[in-house]
Amino acid sequence: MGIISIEFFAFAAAAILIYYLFPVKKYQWTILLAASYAYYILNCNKYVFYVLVTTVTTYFGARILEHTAEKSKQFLLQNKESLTKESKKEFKAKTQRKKRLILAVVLVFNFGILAFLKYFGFCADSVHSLLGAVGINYTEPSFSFIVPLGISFYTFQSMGYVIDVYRGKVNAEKNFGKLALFVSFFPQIVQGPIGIYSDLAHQLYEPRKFSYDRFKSGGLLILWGIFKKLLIADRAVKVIKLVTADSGAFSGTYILFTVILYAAQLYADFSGGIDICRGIAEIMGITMAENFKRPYFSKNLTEYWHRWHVSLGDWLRNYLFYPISISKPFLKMSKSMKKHGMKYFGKVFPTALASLITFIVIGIWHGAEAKYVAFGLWNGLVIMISSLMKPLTDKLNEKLHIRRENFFYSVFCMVRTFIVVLIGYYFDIARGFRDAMSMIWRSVADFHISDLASFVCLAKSKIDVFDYLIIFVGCLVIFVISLVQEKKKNSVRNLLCEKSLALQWVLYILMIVVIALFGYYGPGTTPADFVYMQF
Amino acid sequence: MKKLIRFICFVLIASTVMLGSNFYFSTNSDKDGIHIRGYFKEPRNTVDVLLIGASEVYTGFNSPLAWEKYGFTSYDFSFAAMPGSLYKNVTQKALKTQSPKLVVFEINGFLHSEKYLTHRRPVHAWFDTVGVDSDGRAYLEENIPNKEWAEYYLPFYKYHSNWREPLICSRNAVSRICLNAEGISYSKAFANTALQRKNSVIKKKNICFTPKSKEYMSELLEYCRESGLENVLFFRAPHCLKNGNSEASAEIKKLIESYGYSFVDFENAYDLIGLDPQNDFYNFEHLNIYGMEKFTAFFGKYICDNYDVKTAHTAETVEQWNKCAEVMNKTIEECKNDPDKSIYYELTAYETAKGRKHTILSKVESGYNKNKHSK
Repeated sequence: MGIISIEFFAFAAAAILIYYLFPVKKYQWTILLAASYAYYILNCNKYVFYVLVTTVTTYFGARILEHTAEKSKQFLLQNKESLTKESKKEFKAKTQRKKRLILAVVLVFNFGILAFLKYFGFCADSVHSLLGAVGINYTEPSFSFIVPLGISFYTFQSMGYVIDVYRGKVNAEKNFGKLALFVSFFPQIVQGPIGIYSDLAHQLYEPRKFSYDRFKSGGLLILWGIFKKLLIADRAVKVIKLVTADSGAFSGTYILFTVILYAAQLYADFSGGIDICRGIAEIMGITMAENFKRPYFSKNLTEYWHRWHVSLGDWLRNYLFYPISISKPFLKMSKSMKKHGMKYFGKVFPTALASLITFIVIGIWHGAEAKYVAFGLWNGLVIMISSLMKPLTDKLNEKLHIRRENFFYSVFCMVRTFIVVLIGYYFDIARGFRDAMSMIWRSVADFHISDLASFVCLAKSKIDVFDYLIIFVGCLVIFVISLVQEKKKNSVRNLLCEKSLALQWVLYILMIVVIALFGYYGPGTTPADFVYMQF
Repeated sequence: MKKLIRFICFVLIASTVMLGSNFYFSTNSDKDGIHIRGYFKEPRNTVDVLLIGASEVYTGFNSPLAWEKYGFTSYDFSFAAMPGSLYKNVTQKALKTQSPKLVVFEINGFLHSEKYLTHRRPVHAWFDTVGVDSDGRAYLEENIPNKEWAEYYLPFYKYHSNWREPLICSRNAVSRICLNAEGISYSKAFANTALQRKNSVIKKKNICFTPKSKEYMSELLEYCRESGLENVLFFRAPHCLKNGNSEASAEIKKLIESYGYSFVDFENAYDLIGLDPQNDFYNFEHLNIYGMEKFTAFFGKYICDNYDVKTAHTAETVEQWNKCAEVMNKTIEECKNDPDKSIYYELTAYETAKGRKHTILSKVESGYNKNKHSK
């Protein structure tokens, strides 16, 4: 049951209907829970076991963590007078160690499942190659694992919750069913956004009445998501698959064209999918985090990563980047650098290094392959170098009398960032690291503008000139809407609501007709899976 | 409450727009739909002779001309490449509104490979036009993989990308509007050209009568017998092809006759009909407008000589058919005098009836200009 399918929309409509018609509002959330598990079982059948395991360990892990903290607090309160300062400190440290151990067990167990399922094949291959290289014959185990749907997203979301309980930011959920809903909420389980417990959970459990305005707003968001997915993403994916399957057969011009197309396809696919999920949630009165904030308008790579897959970025920042950058070794490193006269480096380098590590983790999360590590390294290094070089670039701008708020400079920065992002995409779409390097090289050395006069060599993709035109116009529409959002800092849906009813209706109907006519679906087309579904 | 009414209004308007899109885009042919729809516009039980088959029927036999000459009403219930698998379903549907005295089948649909027997284009042309009823469902269940069924119940799912074919969609939509406005088909399914072949070569081709074809033909014969049809004639229309597989022809004849029905083969009966293989055909498989006139005259007589098909029709029916014959004669004249040798069909006949000039919308390219330029 793909997200872009009649079955899914019928399922979602039924879930919404039952949700609002459920008479006991206090237990309305149980409908969401039932729908979420039904969705998962319909899609993954027995793999629901993995979600259950994560839910159980998360539930008990958080409860034990809270219980430990509570017990320690009680003990300290009861023995406030009798304990010395040292013994209090020692007791607190002991409790902290205990909590850390519990947290570590939960994290290792759950991330262990994720890592095992995602990287078992890679590890087995590596061991096989290594042993083969030293002349040892070794037969690989023949079993393979299927990665359950959305495992990364629900694991990240539930582990974020456990860490928050560990940090004392939120209380552990006492109702197992409610926590199970937080872990498995069906619109988001496929590809996020990764919800933060304090933002999302209470929304899931609150009783709600149907709201026409929410229905309209959510419906529009769903339509917008379908527009991006069916008009651009599913159409462009054929060309991308054709070229990347055998990039050696295409000139650098087509490779560059394909990577640019991939930038549009990936954004349309991922943000389109998220919009559909957010739209469904919005109809049910649940506001999910915005996952994309017009990333291609970013003026530098750091900003890009604050705008692209925002929920993952936030998660990694909160639960990986900050803990690393404020860890003892990093603080020591900072102090030591400052001590040796490197004041600026002492301030920036540890943070930049933590950022590099975070990006390598992002790379590995994308897949256990050298090309993904390179993807992480590329992004991490660019951010690291640009942070370290900032005083120099500031001076250069000053000397050249460049004002940062200047329009043309802003456009230059956006184009520059887009090129950096594109280079990263080569690692994403190539078959391997070497292929990526070759594609990058050929995009420059084998680029002939005259090639663009004919798309005959891309004909095998069965995408014709009309399709390219639709992709182009679709991207133009996204660009204009993004531009409006950037300028007005308001959602286009809200802006639309301020217009006359007739204009609103004309635009809504136009959107429906455009999707119906120009969407890439029907016989002979295979709906492409959402890119991030595999994660 | 206000919001609910507003929402209902929006849904109604959006649905109307979508239905309009469905009306305009859901077709795969500019002529087939109108040939089929025209049949259902005939007043109940007024068709004396029902002809069923592929393009050989609507290019070869002209009902209004036969009416004028022999006084029986008929209809070419035919569309391009109608495969053998559909004959029974088409007959079932046809007999729901008419009780013809004679049913005539052109057998071309049975003489191809197994793949052709369920060729999707004509299967779609049929169901997109008549919809899927219980007989249609039975057909789909038997012949079409279930993953494709959605296309038949919701044609827009398949045809939404038809904006690439605006001319075909426009012809189909305008023809439908004209048919509804006039309430009657003037040509009784007709499409032909004055284009002539460049030579008189008779190509050799072995007809193919597969076990599956035999199964479909047997089902059709069985159905005709069960329906109590007494007069059923199977025939092979004239072609510029010489069949090298005489065993297959004999097998077909034997099968048809075993059910008590008749089979006549006019494939190479040029002398009998008075056809000239070069001037009376526009390609190997189809008669042109000159050949059509000759074959209509010949086959009309054959029917009258062998079957009692004439019925006393009401004055209103007679008047209607006389009008059709008048329009048809004018259309044929225009077709003969057309310098572009375009294909004239139902829509052209409507324009002729109204005294309008023919446009690119009504005249379908026959390939004459393309060949002329390529010379």
